[in-house]
Amino acid sequence: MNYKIFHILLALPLLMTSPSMANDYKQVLNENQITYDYEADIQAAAKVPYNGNISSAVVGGTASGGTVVDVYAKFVPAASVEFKHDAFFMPDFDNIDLKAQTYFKNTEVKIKGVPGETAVLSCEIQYMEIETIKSYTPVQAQECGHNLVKQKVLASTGDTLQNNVELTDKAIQTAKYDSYVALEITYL
Amino acid sequence: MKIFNKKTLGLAAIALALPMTVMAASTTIEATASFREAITLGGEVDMAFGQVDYSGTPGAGDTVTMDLSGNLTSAGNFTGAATGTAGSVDIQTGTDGLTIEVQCDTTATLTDAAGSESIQVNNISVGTIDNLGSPSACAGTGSAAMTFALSAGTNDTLKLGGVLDGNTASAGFGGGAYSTANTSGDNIEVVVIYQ
Repeated sequence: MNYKIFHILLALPLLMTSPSMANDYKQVLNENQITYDYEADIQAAAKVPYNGNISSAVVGGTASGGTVVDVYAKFVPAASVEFKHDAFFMPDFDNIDLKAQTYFKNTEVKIKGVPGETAVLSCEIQYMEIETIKSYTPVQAQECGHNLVKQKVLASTGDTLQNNVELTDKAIQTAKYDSYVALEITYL
Repeated sequence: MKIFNKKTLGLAAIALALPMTVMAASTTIEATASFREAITLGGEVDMAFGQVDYSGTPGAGDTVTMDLSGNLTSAGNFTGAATGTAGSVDIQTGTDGLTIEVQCDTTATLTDAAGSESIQVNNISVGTIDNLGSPSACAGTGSAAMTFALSAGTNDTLKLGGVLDGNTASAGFGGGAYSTANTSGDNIEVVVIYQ
């Protein structure tokens, strides 16, 4: 008689004493004094939603993604322009007998802005209508002339020679007493 | 006697075993699993406000607002271009039909090259590319800004906008190039998870 077969035969009744063995691993294992909680192990390992019946589970790798987005902005102080000299002003408006004459000659304007930035200088001669002694209404405007309209300039800071733009257009030289020159500068 | 004993024991064991077979039962267990593809993000496009002209010291009311399409609206002493570049993130992989939750920072900090001066983008909003007119306010990482059912090729790109707020400018704020990528800058973090 083979004793190995004998031992197996003796063990058979033990393995068959639990009719629900296939449905309850935990119970069978506990009967053999081995405590092992498969449910806890599955939950810990899977890191996914789990229900006790193991009827459905969601298996995933990385369930989330993350990234970053940078933000950029360039701040530029607004450009400004002003007459370097007090050449453009309306003289003696108390005199109602003003006659057309040339007040203006070549002059310069001063530009302030960010060094290296390119700006456009616009120039316009506005003709004024005297309504009262000290009230003026622009009634007509014309651009200063081909050489000054939307002239590109390179702005820089401070009161340097580079900031100076000379207005030499003929229209300015011949502007009359009832006109003034308006300047505007914008970055490209 | 020795042989008799072995046979007797063997027969006894079989006799014990045979009746037990009728106690056995069997059943089956079905197994199911739902697989969801890992979410990966990519194709990041940084948010760019472009050039902002300002006068005086930036303060309350000086803003440049960017919508999800990159349109810019300037206010106060800030003036700029009409359009910039909205932030963008592609959801490159994920499972269609599953609900996606988007989380994102509420603010970002731009600094100058030296990292000494700063200004913030606040009121950051996010939306899907197929619904740019309906931004959702970011609520910080850890809180949902929006949820939607993922559909590759339709809504798998997120757009980001925000408000460049002059009221957050540092005391010594001056002209120059500002970026969240500079020293002491703080970018916009975007997190996408399955809900």
